[in-house]
Amino acid sequence: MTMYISGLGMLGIFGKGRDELIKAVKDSRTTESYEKLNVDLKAAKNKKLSSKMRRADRFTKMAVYSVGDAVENHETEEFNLRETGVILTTAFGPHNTTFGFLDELITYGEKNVSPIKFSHSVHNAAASYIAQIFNIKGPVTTVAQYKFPVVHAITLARSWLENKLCENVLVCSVEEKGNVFDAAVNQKLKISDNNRLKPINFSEAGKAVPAEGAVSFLLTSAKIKSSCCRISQCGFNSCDFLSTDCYIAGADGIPPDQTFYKKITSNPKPVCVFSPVYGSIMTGTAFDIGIAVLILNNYCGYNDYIVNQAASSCLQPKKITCVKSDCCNDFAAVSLETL
Amino acid sequence: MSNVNELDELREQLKKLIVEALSLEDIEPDEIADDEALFGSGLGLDSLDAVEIYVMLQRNFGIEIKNTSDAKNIFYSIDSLAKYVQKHRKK
Repeated sequence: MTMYISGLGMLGIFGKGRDELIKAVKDSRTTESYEKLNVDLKAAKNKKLSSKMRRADRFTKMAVYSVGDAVENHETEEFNLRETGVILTTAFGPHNTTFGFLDELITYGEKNVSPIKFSHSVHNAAASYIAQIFNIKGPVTTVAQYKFPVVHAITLARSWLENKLCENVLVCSVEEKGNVFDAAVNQKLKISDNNRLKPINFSEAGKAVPAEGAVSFLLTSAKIKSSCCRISQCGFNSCDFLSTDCYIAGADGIPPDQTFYKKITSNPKPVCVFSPVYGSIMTGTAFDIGIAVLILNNYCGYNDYIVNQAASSCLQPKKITCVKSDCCNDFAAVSLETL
Repeated sequence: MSNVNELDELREQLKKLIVEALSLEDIEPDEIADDEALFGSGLGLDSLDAVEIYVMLQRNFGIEIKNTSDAKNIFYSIDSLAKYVQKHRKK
């Protein structure tokens, strides 16, 4: 089933919204140029939305702000938010709040822990905020897993649309940086000591530059006025993805094994890597999809990000496939095409 | 330290603790008037905030309010809260 991306919202270390991402891509702004690899929530603040989530943590605020951008035209557009489903996807969830709650439990005892912190420590809290703030009445769930969380969420969205559970689906991917995340990454591999992300570096094991951010897509089963591209395929470990004009590889230092990326860069089709723009994020595929949307709609180019030198150039691709591999060299892919 | 000075300091401390515990991002502690109603028409706090204030009092001052019917008067304003804390604090 074809799905259409009919709304896009994002925030990351580069700033908020498509304009700031386009600027970061055009200026080749990378992780090493930022003082902090956190989202500037004050700059991203939306007064109308923030008044409805005073008690929310960073994780939820990032999610809600990105959804706010993705559906900013919903009052004038032809889709109905009430008939929309929500799939929030994450690898680590609101772990700063979760571990903050556990810290309080140890420090103050069970009688003196913050009930608000407890209620926000569950993975589904952010999805609930989205549903409540945007008055969404469709199904709401959270997909929390390490292995290809974004592609699993999009696959689930397709299933909901095919089975007419709702008319549209908001897929929101969000990942938060924090001490626990950094420690987990550092145990499995190495964190770059100069914030330089060298995503394709076959001579040594990858080093990660943990960052954070949120990306939201409004997926519709029909083409509407705000539709900007279509998702023609999404799935796992399939050769169907070989037919494309260009690849965006999700290589970001996680995992260190780059066998899959080595294989794909021997392809004559251009392979681009944008992770230095947004950092090492388990849900980074969502950023790649967002960038693919921008390239397909001619907002930015990709030549500076091609990593396979033998690649034949394609001036304006009509189809881009975002691929991400894991430590088992399994891969997930999403193909996007122009309308 | 005189009781009056101690009460003033407590008021300031409570304002800071409340702003922090309740994530009142748009309010500076000194914007809260001593006699302003914390709930309802005043600062606009609600019952969930009351639970957080209750936890904050336990953590910082060792105060446990066992009779919940008293809470309405104690939690009315910064002034009433400070007077109660001054009288019942254990730390």
